[in-house]
Amino acid sequence: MSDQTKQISEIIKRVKLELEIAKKSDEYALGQTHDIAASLNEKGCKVDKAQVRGLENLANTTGKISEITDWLKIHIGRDTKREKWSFNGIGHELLSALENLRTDAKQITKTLSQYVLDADFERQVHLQLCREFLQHISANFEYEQRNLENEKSKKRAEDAIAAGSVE
Amino acid sequence: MKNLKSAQKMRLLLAQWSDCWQVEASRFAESHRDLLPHRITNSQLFGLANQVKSAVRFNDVTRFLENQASKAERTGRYNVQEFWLKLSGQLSRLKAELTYFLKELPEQDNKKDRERLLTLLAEEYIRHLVAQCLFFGSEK
Repeated sequence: MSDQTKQISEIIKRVKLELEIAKKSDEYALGQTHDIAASLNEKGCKVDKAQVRGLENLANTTGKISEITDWLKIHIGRDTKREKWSFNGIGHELLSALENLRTDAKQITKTLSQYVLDADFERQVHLQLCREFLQHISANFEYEQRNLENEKSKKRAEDAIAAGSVE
Repeated sequence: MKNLKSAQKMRLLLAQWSDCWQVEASRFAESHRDLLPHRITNSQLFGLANQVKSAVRFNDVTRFLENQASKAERTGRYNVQEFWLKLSGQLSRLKAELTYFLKELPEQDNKKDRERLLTLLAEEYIRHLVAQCLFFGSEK
């Protein structure tokens, strides 16, 4: 294979990989990430914006999947009051969801098996999928949190108006 | 430029290695699950994590583990002593892992870099172990 053909093949592989990851990412946006974000916003759960963003940032900067899962395990372990990552088993659910992304990574690797892939390819895809997944959780979490806050302030305003009209 | 490439390669190799060895560390934690979280407490685990993070040499870590083991022995907690001794044994296995890195990064084959690399590997292993132990502890 000439150098030029190799380069073209590499570019096609990258484009296809991005396409596959984008497809999966769009699937995640509407599915489980939405449910996890909703659980994080449930009454009684004290996970805050900073922690969710922290996890998202960690995923975007690390090269290790294990660092993301370790972060979660440590936070689950520290949460003795069960009001943050241990609340209703959210942390456990997220951990297994991230682990399950390995199946998608395997599938993508299989789809691209006609190209030259290095030994670390599947792990890299898995990491990328974890990043996408956590990005959606963070976005859904903040969006829903804002909605809840808006609803609360709207209700407060309505209550204040009602109280004023009674007086 | 050469240093940058070498650092990037090192980062990638370490990431691969760390993800692979997470399973090993989890297995070790699993085999001592009965000691968590009361016999081996969260404070002891955080102490271990801090010790490894601040260690300059690999020997600092092993000395800490030996110290923990002898403390446990003095108080008659022999199963806890066994935990620390076995952990020390696990960490000495990391020395064999160095060959994998040095094959890929021959420029790091000097005493100083080997020591630094070994401490990094210990840090990764202990992070996995502490995370898994805290996770198991929370389940009780």
